Amino acid sequence: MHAAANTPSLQSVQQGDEELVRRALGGDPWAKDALFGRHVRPVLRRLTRLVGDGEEAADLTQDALASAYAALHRLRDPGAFGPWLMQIAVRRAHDALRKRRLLRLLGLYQPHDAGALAELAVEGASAEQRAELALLDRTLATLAPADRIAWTLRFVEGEQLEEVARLTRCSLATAKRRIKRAQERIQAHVALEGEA
Amino acid sequence: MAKLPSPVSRILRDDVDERLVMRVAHGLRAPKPPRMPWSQRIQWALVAVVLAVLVGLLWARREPEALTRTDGPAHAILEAPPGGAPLVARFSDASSVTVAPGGRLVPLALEPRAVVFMLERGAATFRVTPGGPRRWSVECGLVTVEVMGTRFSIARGDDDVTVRVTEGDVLVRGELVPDRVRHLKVGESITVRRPPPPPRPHVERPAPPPQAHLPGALPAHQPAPATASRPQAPVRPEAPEAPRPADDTPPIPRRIPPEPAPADAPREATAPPPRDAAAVRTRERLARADLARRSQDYELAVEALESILEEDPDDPQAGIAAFTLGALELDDLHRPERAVVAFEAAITRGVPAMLLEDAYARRVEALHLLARHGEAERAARDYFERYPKGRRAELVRRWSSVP
Repeated sequence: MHAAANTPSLQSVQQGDEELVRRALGGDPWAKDALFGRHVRPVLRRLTRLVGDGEEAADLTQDALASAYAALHRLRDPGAFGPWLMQIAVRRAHDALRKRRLLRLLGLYQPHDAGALAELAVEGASAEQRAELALLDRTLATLAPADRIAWTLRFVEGEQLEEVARLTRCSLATAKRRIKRAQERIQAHVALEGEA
Repeated sequence: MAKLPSPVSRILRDDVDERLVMRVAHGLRAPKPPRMPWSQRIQWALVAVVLAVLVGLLWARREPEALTRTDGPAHAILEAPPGGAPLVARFSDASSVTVAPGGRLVPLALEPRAVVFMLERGAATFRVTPGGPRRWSVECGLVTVEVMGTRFSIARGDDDVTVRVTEGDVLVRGELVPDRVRHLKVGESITVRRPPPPPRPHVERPAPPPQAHLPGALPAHQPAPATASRPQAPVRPEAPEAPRPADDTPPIPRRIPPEPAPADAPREATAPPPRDAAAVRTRERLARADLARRSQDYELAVEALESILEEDPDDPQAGIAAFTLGALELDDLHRPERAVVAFEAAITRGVPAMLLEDAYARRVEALHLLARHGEAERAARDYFERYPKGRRAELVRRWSSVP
């Protein structure tokens, strides 16, 4: 990126998002690169798990970052750049899943499962767990986009209900309802440890 | 099977593909294509909406599939032998027909949008699936039953037809139906009876001429005196009345060929069938011809139309039958010679004014196709004499070279 033009010192790398956002708004290209470096991986990881496709997740990540940079001046709390970017990314994932559903209805969707959950399993995962993950992938594909995202954030990402509601920009009750609806569909096929 | 941990991310990799990270970085640095202005977006949206509406209209107007039987050949005649079991026919749209023993039901047309049966005799019960694209109708002699989705039964006797509705509603049409059409709803029925033929009049034959050898007899060639009971209505002189002899003897009454008689006049035994029956028969034949033509069975249509002209030539619809025959021969069967004859018959028998002009014009067209130029020119002059500024004047000029 622009690191060669403005070599960041260790101190500047450690600056908080608040300072970076302020500098980015002032036209400092290095600040944008720094924001990118801090947030691109969490966003890409989460989007990969939400949409189950690494290539598509990369496109969505790029789109989310571009949107965030363009709307940076509207961010009231510069220190909340990370959660705000994640909210935008989740919204993009929702839109992508809706579009995918429409294409599937029209018979135009070609599934690309390179980044599906089963493919993301750690090396230590057992064969049974991989099989369960593959089953989970297939079940998630049948859910409504909003339900799928809420359930994935809750049970795959381990987010609290309040955070799920914030990321999906809905009320807590709505988030609970979506998770419950998805859980009912998934429970018939996949066994999960712990509580909902 | 092992349970998945909660959260599932405990068994998912945390690392991300650095190739994808680089791709994102590269994409963010790449210049963005200029955004389409709103006006252009709206234009494209309108184009998309118009295309969607067109596609929707085409989809809605697509031709549905023709009706088929699920339990036998589609066009097989449904005939249940007397004393046997009822015959059930099921169709591809889940409709069904049950023909009672002794009944005979002929499928005239099983088209994408029209299904027509002829109940030739006996009784049949129809269960038509509602909401389909096809209009069902059943010809049963005295009446035509039209239906969209319902259950009803028809019983046809020699001189009557009974229609009974058990679900939905039907329209019953016919010359003998009060007001020519009756809307039957659930539980209603109608029985249409053919009117009895008028009583056969007792016609006294004229007294045989007196024998020549009898005293006071008239010569054999002279008219004999009529009896007092000589019927007046069905007879009339064929030729101008001969001058009466000096003794004022009336002329011999002579029978004349069939001619429309007053409605209240008694009919001879050889008189044509009642006018209502002829009208019903002609209507049935016209309907059959129309269906046959739509099914592209042109020879069957010709047969039906010719039977009208042969058997009921005095029917008011005969002219229309002749005109239709001409059009069929010319347009579909490419037999202009026969078309000429048919159009001349239509002109002679009379057709509604709009068709009459067409009949004159199409006669010219047929003669032109036959290269009978002289006749075509004469026919064209006939046309221009009646329609100097007719709708088809330009075409007639082209076919006849009449200036």
